[in-house]
Amino acid sequence: MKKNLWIPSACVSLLASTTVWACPFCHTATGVAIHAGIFDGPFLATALATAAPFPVLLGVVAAFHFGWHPAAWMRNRARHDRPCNPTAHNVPGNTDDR
Amino acid sequence: MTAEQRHLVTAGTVLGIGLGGFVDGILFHQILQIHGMISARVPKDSVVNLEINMFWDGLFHTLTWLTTALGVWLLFRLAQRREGRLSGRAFGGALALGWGLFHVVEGILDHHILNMHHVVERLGVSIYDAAFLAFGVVLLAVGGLAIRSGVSVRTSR
Repeated sequence: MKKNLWIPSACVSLLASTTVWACPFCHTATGVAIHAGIFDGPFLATALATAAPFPVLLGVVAAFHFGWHPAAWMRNRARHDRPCNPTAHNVPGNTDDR
Repeated sequence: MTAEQRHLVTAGTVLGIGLGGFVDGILFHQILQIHGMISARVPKDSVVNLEINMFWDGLFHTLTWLTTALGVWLLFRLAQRREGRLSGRAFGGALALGWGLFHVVEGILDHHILNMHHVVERLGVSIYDAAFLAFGVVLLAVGGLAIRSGVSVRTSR
């Protein structure tokens, strides 16, 4: 077997071994209740509620970065994608974006 | 504010959001254990409910980790593109701004609108929820002032 196949083979072997699946809770009444509490309830609604702050936060940061108005957003995106002039920021008094 | 400064503030703010989320998750959820991710809906009063909260804490920490990784990537990309010195004050301010932003958005959404949990769960909506928001507003102000100061110092040189 090639040397670089050892790592994935070892990982698959380890994950396939029974000790990995020997979860003390999973096959008990407690484990079943936990599984039901997570997945049998309003799983999608809870997942969305848990994740809700993150798109809002990243949206606020994106609005700060690109501008609040859609036109400013497109303008700044276009400027952002333009190739960078590596010497521009070394020119004294130059506050141009690129 | 130059493009370089704007990229620095954005990277710092995203990192601040991630690190602020970790402070919340590690300090409040795990060390002090005064609330869990959905402890207002599933009270942490049994092993089953603890484990259910732990699952949702894990999802919260996953998203927090991804946000932190995004901040590190933005900062690394900025460092690759530029050779000029970056303002430490503006970066520190951006970290505080991100942390404050996390407190305000998470506080309003999770504590008040979605009713996921409260800062001290056994008290429900309490003065601690207001303090959580107030701390966020203070961080926003401190961060904003530090960014402004750092950017003006760097631009005037």
